[in-house]
Amino acid sequence: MIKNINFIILATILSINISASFAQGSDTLESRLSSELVRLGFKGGELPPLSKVFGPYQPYVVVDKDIYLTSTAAQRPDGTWITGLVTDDTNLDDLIYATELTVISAINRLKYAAGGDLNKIGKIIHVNTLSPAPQDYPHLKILADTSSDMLVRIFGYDVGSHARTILAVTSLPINMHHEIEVRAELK
Amino acid sequence: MIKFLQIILVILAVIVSFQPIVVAQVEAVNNDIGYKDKITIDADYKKELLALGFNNGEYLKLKNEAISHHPYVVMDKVVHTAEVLALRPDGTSLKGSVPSNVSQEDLLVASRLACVGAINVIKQAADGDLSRVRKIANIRYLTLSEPEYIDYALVSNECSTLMVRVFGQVVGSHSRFAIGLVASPNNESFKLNLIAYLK
Repeated sequence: MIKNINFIILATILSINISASFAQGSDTLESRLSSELVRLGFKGGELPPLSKVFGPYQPYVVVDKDIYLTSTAAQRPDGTWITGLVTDDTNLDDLIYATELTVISAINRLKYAAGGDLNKIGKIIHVNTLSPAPQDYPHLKILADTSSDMLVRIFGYDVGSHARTILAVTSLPINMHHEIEVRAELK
Repeated sequence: MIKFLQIILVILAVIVSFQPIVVAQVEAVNNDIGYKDKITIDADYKKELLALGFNNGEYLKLKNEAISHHPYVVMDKVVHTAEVLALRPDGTSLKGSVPSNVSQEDLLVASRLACVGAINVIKQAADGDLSRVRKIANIRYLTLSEPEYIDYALVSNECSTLMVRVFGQVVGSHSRFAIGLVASPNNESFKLNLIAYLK
């Protein structure tokens, strides 16, 4: 009887261990990013090709371990840009979707900056949220929280948590709807 | 004899076929906008200053009156500049917001003026030797604007291309962002700040 109980306890401990290790195995940075991409409408959960920049500058600069991204804007899965000023009439859900697409653009550039492997990113240092919103626009914090939460969801708390700035600007280049500027560090 | 001619022909053919490659290599050297030495950087910087009307191609000598903040800070060979204004050779600057008070053409010049000003700050940080600059990492362009204005990229391009002209493609190309401001101290139309790395 006692032997049986021991056996049952052993078996349960083993099964818990195995299931935990299975869960860990499937919960990688790539899988988390992929599920976010599927949710946002990217086919196959794949990052889109890196969009070309609009002028004589680089999409990102890497010096030693420091990564400086050019500000990224909201690009839909079909490659078109979300443009227009933010007004009090702007649908908040649409704006949050634009914010999430902006984060995806930033992660895309980070991947290139890290030589194709996002696991090489050691820390997201700073996120600068730029929104062409009117004065006393009440939802700026929600927008910044959207990008912050998403980065922590994908990279995990240790790597993804960051310092941040929220700016309401008069307008953005090429009439962009939302932009973020990210600074990060390689491992 | 015929064999001898054949050999000469082959040698000629080889020379002719290699010539374009040699020419291409020479062109590559001429068009090389990679790393530049101190003399060329200084010469190209002076050229930009002269084009903007600075006497003898020398930037203004500015006094730093503030105690709490500096025109630049160097930490571990990383230069962080303060906001650099678009000062004209006579010390004045462009005021007012685009497009109602200031034209796009004025802003394009202001962008170059702020750019040479920023290079002057980097030069001080690098103890007068611009060839010590390893990389221009990030430039932030700030324009006093109204919501209908969206042509920031054109204004930023003026400075971005100037940086590459002075420092070369490898050192001078950078990441950037450009935003419109609602208000700015002294109503300044255009300013920028940047992060650069020293060797």
